[in-house]
Amino acid sequence: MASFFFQQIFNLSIFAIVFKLVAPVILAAVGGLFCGKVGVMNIGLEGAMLVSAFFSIVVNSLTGNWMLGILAGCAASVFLCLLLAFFTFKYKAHHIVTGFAINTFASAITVFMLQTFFGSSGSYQPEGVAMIPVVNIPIIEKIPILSVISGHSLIVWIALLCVILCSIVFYKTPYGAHLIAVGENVQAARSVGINDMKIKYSAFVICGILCGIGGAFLSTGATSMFVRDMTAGNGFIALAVISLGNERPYGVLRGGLVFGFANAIAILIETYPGLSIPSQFIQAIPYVATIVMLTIHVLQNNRKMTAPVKKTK
Amino acid sequence: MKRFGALFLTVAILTVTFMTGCGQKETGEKETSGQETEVSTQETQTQEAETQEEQPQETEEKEPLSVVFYANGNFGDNAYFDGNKEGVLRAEKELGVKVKLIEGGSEQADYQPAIEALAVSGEYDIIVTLTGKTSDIVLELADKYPEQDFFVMDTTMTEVRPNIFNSMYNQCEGSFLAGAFAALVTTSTELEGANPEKVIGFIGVMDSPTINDFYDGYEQGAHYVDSEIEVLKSYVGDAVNAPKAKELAMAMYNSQNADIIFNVGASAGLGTLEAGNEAGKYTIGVDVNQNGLYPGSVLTSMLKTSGTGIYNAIELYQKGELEMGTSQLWGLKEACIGLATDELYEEHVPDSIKQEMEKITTALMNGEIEVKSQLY
Repeated sequence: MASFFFQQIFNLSIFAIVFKLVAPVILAAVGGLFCGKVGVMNIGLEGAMLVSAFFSIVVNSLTGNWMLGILAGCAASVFLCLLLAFFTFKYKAHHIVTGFAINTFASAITVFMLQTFFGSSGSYQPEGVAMIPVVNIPIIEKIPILSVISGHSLIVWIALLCVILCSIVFYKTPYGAHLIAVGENVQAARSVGINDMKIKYSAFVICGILCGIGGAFLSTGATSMFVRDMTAGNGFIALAVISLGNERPYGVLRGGLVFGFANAIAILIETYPGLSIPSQFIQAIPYVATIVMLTIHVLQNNRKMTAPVKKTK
Repeated sequence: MKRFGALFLTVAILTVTFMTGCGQKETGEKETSGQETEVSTQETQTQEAETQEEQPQETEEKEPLSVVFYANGNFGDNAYFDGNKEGVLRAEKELGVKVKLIEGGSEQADYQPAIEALAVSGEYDIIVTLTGKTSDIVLELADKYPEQDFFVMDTTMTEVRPNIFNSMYNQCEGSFLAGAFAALVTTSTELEGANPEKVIGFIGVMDSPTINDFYDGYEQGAHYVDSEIEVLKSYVGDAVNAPKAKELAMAMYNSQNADIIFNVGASAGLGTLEAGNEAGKYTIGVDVNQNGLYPGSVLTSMLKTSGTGIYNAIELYQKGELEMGTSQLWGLKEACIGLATDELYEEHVPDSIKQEMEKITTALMNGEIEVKSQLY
C-alpha cells in the first residue's frame, strides 16, 4: 500500500485531485479573509457559495456561456454578502447570527427555486452546460514532472491568482492599509478620514465575488449539476483554513493545501482495494489533519507570545 | 433617510421571512398542512366540503381509499424517493385512490410529530412511510392510534402491530444481479471501455447496514461470475456531496483501473455517474432507471422499484387481501427488484452479456442461486 501512495504522489495524479478539491475552499477562504480584516467572521461563506452554484448553472444552461454563469453566480453571492453586511453594520445584528441566517436562507431558497422552476427538490442536471474550461499548457503537458501544472480548471488558476492578488492588496496598496486600519481600530481610521462603511461594504463585495467564483466552480466546473446543499461544508472548511493560515493570504494557501492533501489521501485510501479500516475513520482524516494543524499552529503562537522579548537598545 | 432605511429593512425582513417560509415547505416542518404537495387536481376546497357533508349518507365502500405518503427525505433525487413517489402516483392513477405526498426533509426530529399529526387528523386510511428511520416511530404510534393503518416499506421490523404492514425489498438480490453484470462487463472483451484488469467498484452513501447490504449482494454476484474479481468499496459520507462522489469514482477509474462502478449514492451518486461518462467508463444506476442520464455509460440500473412495492401493497389492501400485521420480504419474484433492461440496455450491452444475465436471473428466480444477506 505504501508503494501505491508513493506511486500516486510520484506520478502526480494526486495533484489533480488536490487542486480540484481545494480551489473552491481557497476562493472562499480568501473572501472570508477580506471580511475578517474588517472585523467580521463571515459564517455565510457556505450560503454565498451555494446560491452561486445554483444561479451559475441555471444561467449557464440558459445562455450556454460559462462566463455569464459565473457572473450570475457572483451577482447572487454578492447580494447575499451585502445583505449580511447590511444587517451587521447598519442594524448591528450579531454577525454569527446573521451568517447562520444567510446559510439557512441560501439552502432554502435554492431548493425553493429548484422546486418552482424545475419541479425537482433534490437535484438539477440541465442539458448543454458549458463547463468552465480546463487549461492545457501546450508544451509543458508533455514534460514528465512539469506536466502537473497542466490540465487544471481555469478556476484553479484564478484561485491561486487571488491569493497573490490578495497579498498585494493587503500589504502593498493604500486600500489594504485602510482595510486593516478599519478592522483594527475604527475610531482611529475615521479620525484620519477613512470612510469606514465604504471600506467594510467593499470587503463584503469582494468576498461575494470570490465565493461566487468558488460556488460556480462546484456546479459548472467540478461537476455539471446542482444538488441541494452541494457545498457540503466547504464554506466552513474555508473558515478553518483562514485560522489555519493565521489570517494571511499565503497562510490560507498553505492551510488549504494541507486540507486538500489530507482529503485526496482519504479518497485514495477509500478506493484502495481490500482495506479493513472502517470508512468513518478514513473520512475523518481531513478533519483530524485540520485539528492537528490548528493545534500545532496554536502551540507555535503560544510560544511566540510567551517567549521573552529581546531587548533592543 | 433613516425612515427609508427602516422601510427597506421591513421589506427585506418580510421578503426573507416569506422566502424562508416557503423554503421550509420543501425542507419539511412540523406543521403538515403547510407542506403538503397537493397531487389530486380535482380536490378543491369546496368539493372537500361537499364530500364531508355527504359522508354520512354515502356507504363507506364508495369513498375512495385515501393514502398519504410521508417521505423521510426529499424528492428530486432521481433515485430512491422519486421511485417511491412514482409508485404512489401510479396507485392514484390506476387504482383511483386519493393520494397526498409529503416531503419530510432530512431533519429526523421532524418525523415523529409530522407522522403523528397525520394519524391525529384521521383523514387518511393508510399512512405510508419508508425505511428504518420511521419504523420505531410508527410502532409507537400504531399503539396510540389503533384505528389508523400504517405501511412501513423498505425495512425489516422485528415486531409489528395488527395495524401495520411491513415489507422489505430484497436489495441484496438485486445487487447480486448488478454484481454479476459488473463482473461480466469487466471481463468482457467486446466493450470498448472495459480494461483487462478484473476490478469493479462500489460507491455507497454511507457505511450503514442497508447500504452494506447492497454491497454484500454486489460482491456475491461478482464472485459468482468470476471469483478473482476485486471489488473496491468506498462511501461518500453524505447524500449530497456530488463533487466528492465524482472524485472517488475518478480515483477508482484512474488509479485502480476499475471499469465499472455500482452507484448507491442518492443525490451525490449523480456525481459518480457523471465521472463514469467523463472517464469513458461504465456505471450501474440505482433505485430507478438511470440509464437515460448518460446513455452508453450507465449500462443498466439496479431497480429497487420500491414504488412497485407500495403500489402492490395498496392494491392488495384495496382488495382486502393484504395481511396486515405481517412483515414480508419482496424481491425479484414480486417484481420489486430487478435490472433496468430498456432500449438503451438493448443498444449498448453486448448480446453475450445479455444472454448470461438472463440465465442468472432465471436461476435466481428458481431459487438455484441463494443470496445471503446479513439483514434478513
